[in-house]
Amino acid sequence: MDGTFGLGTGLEGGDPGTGLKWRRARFRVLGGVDLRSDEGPANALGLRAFVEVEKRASVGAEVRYERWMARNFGVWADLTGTVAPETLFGGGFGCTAIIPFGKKFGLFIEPSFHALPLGSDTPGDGMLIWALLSAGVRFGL
Amino acid sequence: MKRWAWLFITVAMPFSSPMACGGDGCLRNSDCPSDETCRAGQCELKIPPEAQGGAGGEDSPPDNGGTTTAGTGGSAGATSAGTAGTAGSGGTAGTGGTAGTGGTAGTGGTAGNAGTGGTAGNAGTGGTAGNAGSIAVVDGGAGGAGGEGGAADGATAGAGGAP
Repeated sequence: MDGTFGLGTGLEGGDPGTGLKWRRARFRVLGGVDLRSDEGPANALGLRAFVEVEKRASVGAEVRYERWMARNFGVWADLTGTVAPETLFGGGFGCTAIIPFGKKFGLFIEPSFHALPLGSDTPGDGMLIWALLSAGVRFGL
Repeated sequence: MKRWAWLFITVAMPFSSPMACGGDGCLRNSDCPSDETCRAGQCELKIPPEAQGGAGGEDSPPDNGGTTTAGTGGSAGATSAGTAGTAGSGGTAGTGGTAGTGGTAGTGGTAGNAGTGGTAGNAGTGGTAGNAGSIAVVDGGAGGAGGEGGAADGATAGAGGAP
């Protein structure tokens, strides 16, 4: 089991009724764990919680299926969303690269892409798109 | 360690605040205050303020009804929300006498129409027709048509009522 703590931002897009609009995604603080099986370390379940801390803060979470292609590189697909103050729900994919720093410690960089078509926080009746880049620390638990 | 710290800062820290989250407009409902929602890129109140009614009209000035006929007209009774009664017809003045004043129409009820003034009586021979009566102030109702002045057989006919 590994723990992660990081920060993220990126681009956020959608059509609020005036055409596709992109802007910088809200800055977020995230944390979570990756649960790997000893029998199949290439597969893992990732749980994340995040807080968007700009404008009205929002709280969200995601569940990932991770496939580790190498010891320090993995790809994943997830279901994600926010639960407060408005709701969002969707899915996405991404990858994680780990820069090891010691045996149980490393830094991760994680680009991802999400589409969130459901919830009360979608722009207009459309879909919200996140193209995010997160980074932080990763440590063995 | 230092270079990792710099890498972390460079990659993870947000851009400067002027770029933050779209500036003036909105993309998500949560960009707006809790009592507003994002419509067409702008925050608008979830519940628009109720339309305010127009300013009330000015009170109508007291509208004097027409002048009723001369003669011994009776007063019309006040009615409620109805049409005021018609003043009675004036009687015929006696010889050389002055015709009496016509009766006053009763007060019209709210939104009722004022009554029509009575017909002027015939003035007596040589006499002066009396002044027509007045219609009382009507609250909210349209002022009634003034009574017509009576035909005077005598010297002066009664004055016609003003509407």
